[in-house]
Amino acid sequence: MKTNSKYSRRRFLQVSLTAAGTGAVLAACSTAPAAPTAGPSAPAQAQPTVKPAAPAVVSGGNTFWFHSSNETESRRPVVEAWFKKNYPNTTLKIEVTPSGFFDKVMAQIAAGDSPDLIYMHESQVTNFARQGALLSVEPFLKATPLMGDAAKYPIDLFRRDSAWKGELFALPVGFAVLMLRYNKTMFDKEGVKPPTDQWTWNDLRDSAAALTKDTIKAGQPDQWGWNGWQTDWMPSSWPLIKSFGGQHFDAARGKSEIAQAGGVAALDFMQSTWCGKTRSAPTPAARKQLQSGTVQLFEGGKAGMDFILSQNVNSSLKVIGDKFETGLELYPAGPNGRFVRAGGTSYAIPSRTKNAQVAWELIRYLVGDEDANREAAQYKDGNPLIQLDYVLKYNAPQNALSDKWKKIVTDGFQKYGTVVQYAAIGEYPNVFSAALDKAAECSTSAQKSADEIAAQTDKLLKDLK
Amino acid sequence: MATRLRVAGHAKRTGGLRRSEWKWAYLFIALNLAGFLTFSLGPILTSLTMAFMNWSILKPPEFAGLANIARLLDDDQFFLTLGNTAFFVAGSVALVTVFAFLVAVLLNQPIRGRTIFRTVFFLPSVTLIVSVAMIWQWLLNPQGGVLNYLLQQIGVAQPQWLADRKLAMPTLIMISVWQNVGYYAIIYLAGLQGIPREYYEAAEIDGASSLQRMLRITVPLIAQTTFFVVVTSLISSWQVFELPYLLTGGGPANATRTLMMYTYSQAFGSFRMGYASLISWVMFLLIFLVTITQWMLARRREHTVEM
Repeated sequence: MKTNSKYSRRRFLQVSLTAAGTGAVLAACSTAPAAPTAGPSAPAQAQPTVKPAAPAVVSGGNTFWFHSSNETESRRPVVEAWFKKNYPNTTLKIEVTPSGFFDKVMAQIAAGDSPDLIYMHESQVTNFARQGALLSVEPFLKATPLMGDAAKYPIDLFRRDSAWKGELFALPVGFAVLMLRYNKTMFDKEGVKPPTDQWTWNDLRDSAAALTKDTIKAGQPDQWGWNGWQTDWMPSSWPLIKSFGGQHFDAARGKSEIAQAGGVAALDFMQSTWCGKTRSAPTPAARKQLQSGTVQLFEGGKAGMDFILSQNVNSSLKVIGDKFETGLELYPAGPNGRFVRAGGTSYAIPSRTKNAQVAWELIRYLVGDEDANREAAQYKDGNPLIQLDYVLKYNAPQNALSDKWKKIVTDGFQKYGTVVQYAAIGEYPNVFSAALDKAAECSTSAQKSADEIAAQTDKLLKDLK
Repeated sequence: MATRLRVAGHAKRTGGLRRSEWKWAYLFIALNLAGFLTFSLGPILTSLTMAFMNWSILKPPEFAGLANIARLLDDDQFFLTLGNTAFFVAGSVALVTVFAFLVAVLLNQPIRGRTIFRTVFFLPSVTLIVSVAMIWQWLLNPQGGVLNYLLQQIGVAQPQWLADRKLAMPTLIMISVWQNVGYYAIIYLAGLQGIPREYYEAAEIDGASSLQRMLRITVPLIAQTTFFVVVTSLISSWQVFELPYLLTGGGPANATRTLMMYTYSQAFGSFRMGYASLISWVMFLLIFLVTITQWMLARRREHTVEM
């Protein structure tokens, strides 16, 4: 029997679904976020209009929003003190997202609820810039140059390798050099000569092979000469590729160049550390498992050599304690010369910020003023600093390794520095890492691996266009 | 007259409720319905429209027609991750169903400490996935892990559980089964306890063996529960993300990269929201088709039994 009710269930559902459907379709068609008001395509809009002498006015409800990952948490007191001094009436909101930072911040910018200043990493800056999510820092640099001695600031280094369409979209506030660390006790015990500043990659591999042993007769090595490259963290292998004359992409980042001679030679070298008589490093997949949790191969005395970032040397030495003696050396050279990954913490100004000028002033302070560097160094051991003087003054270990550390950092800064070039273009890190995993199985040639990377990358780049 | 009165009385009620009661009913569900429309149906329909657009979050969406579908058909990574996921689903659903049933049968026996065993089996399913991943990472560590240490003691070669392309996905399946078997065993247990004891007693009098009682009584009568277990585990297995993300990151060589991981990477790594929406819809259709097929097969089987 039909009901006479004015609001039948069927009617109610019909009305609800129609409304929802219409709403959703309308939402899908109309919620397109507005184009960035001052994206990279319109750098002119980002031109600072306020002179540095006159502090900019904070808009957006009198709140300045700084969103960072935990890497920049150490600068919190410095930033707070700066705001208290320069903008006492402004509410400073500092948000820290340790995990999933880049996804979250991109969603915030896209939603128009944008932070005013964000942490940025060299591996992400191109991805963000390509989307129009960041303001170019070039107009700011022209209007108000950096404080202090600009020659000591590695801006040219970053502009050379980390720019997008010729412009910088993030400014480093921390500088770290990738260096070689070795277990001197193991070298002495095995009668192998330790690394020198003249070492090539071949020297490293040959010594590593001599250190690699199955000490517990488990059927495979449990002591490795070289801890290997972290293939999903591309800065670790980038200096090697470059020292063999390889490149990930061409200058315009429109085509893969890894399958050219230099790239293939680098991959061939990496493969030689996983396969055959020169086997001296765990495969990338095995390394990932071996390095997990509380197990750390180098600190555990199970790897003769490893890479380490300059600002982490102190904390590493504390973990190692008296277990063995540690040595430090420059990253080895290849046929094309010696290269050292130099990079670190950067800050960027989102394209939808309401306080671009204030954000720029804060960056200027953090990269150029000794007070900021000193306070940041005291707040947390191992916090990477910027400008060579400050790095040497505040980041160096205070022990027998101090002089060596300073020499490596200075050379890395001034002679061999290179910023990782790949800058996370879509799926590229995964393509590269997966191909190396296959190469480590020793059943394919380096040329084939390189061809596979190049084919997938070219398709990827074509898609992105 | 009596009939008319009854009809007239019924006219004021729909489905056992008076008209005034309906208003209250609608009011009570209104909040829930509004939430569903706003946070579920709205985004679902939006994602359907997005599947035919290119949207990189910061730039306005552009209508792409069938371009995303064409890209999907030419996308090796999509088919690779689809295959990986299908392998995971087949392995984990089959093993979870069988082991959960067997565990439930054991836990249904009048043994001492039964409650403790039930708790122990259920514990992994309420443990945080991050903790599960960390524990297994330690157990499976190729150098110094407990499992490999024990294997070494009995002279077995040490497998690279998560670092070997052929072993990594079976290892993840094993961990997934370990984690979920307790939950589904509890569901099975509820089903087993609903089977009248008389059936077993009658079969015992007729001389049926334990195996015959299980195959002829338990398995057919628990078919509805099995259907529920298969469907729910199938849906959750298709969406597997955390376990491979935490334990292998999708490696080695993408051997454990699942469809959900790929969707996430497309959406938040490459900022292809339209394409990621399309992959999500393909995944939904796959789950939907498999579930419907399963449901139809179950219905046919029921019908055959009734005949």
